[in-house]
Amino acid sequence: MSVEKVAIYSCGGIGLHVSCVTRLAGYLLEEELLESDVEILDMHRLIRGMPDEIEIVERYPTIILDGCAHQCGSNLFWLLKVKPACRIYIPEIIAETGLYPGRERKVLEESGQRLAKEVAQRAETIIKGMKESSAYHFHPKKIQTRDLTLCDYGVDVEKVLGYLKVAPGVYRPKDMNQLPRLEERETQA
Amino acid sequence: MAVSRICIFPCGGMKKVESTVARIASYIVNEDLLPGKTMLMCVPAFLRGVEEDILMVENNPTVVIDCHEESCGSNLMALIGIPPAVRIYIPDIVSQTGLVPGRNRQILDPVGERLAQEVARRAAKAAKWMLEDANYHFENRKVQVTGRNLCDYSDEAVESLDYILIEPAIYRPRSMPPLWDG
Repeated sequence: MSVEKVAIYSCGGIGLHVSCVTRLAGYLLEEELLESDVEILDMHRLIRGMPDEIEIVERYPTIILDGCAHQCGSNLFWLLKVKPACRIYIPEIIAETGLYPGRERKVLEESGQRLAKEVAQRAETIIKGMKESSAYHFHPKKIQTRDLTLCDYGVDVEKVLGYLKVAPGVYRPKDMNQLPRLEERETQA
Repeated sequence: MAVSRICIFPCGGMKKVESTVARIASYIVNEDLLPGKTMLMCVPAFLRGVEEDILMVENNPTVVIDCHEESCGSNLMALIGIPPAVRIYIPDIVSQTGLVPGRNRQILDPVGERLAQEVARRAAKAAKWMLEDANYHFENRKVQVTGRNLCDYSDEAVESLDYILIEPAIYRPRSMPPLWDG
């Protein structure tokens, strides 16, 4: 099944400055870079059970933007027993680019804004590849929501989701489709 | 038990401009109005099981800021079995003041900024009351983490909190200690 849209799941945190970076990256993708190809997944509305939010996560492949080492975005997907198409891991992008979230949460400083733009551009490449490649397929899935155990930090989310590092800062579950543009480029490199 | 810190739990969503208002309001309380006296509850970290985020909601009264009638913040509190001490309800503030969220989610418009200031002022008022009133007592609670159902839309959870109006836009669950309404 070809890809109609891609869901962007910014980690949704509040305390750390890097969570503001993931939010801004999500807004840049939905409002400026890929308006009609992207839908923001709102984690709070999803947990609330809003049908339109559940539809997004079940119907479209999702790119998770994990802001910090807690990997809370990936954790929620594990909790709901679905896999993302891939995950962009911001700490590695910080290490690679030297861009920092900065110290302002209300409005990001220039470095934080540049970091958000960098994250958004990497997601943009992945999304374009998913949309354009006839080799990329996605099958709708159902989330599991009943009888869950929350707050279990002992779970190794990278392991349970089967993450494979496919490019700097980019991971995908090993049983999900290869990312067309990105992984071809990495193989050539 | 006297209260030394307050947990602020803004809705934290992304889709609506109102959720940006709630988030910015919580930063205003946390950084400007009551520095060192409040903590911000991070829902994804809480669900992940980050100890700090669990303890802050178990050991301190929580002010939840609901940005919309969907009441995602209150719903989560009901789900984990910890009623908030207070709820600030942004739709009531919009109706009462005529301030609107604006249209910009990335950086609030001036009107959205004014609304965030107003939300923050009310959240800080409730927080300050709990911090300063010698008769306000809070009992620690334990979050319920097993056998939970997520993504189950119904009004039941929020209704179970049985909110009563203290003053415009400020509510408390009937089971929680009174504030200035006591």
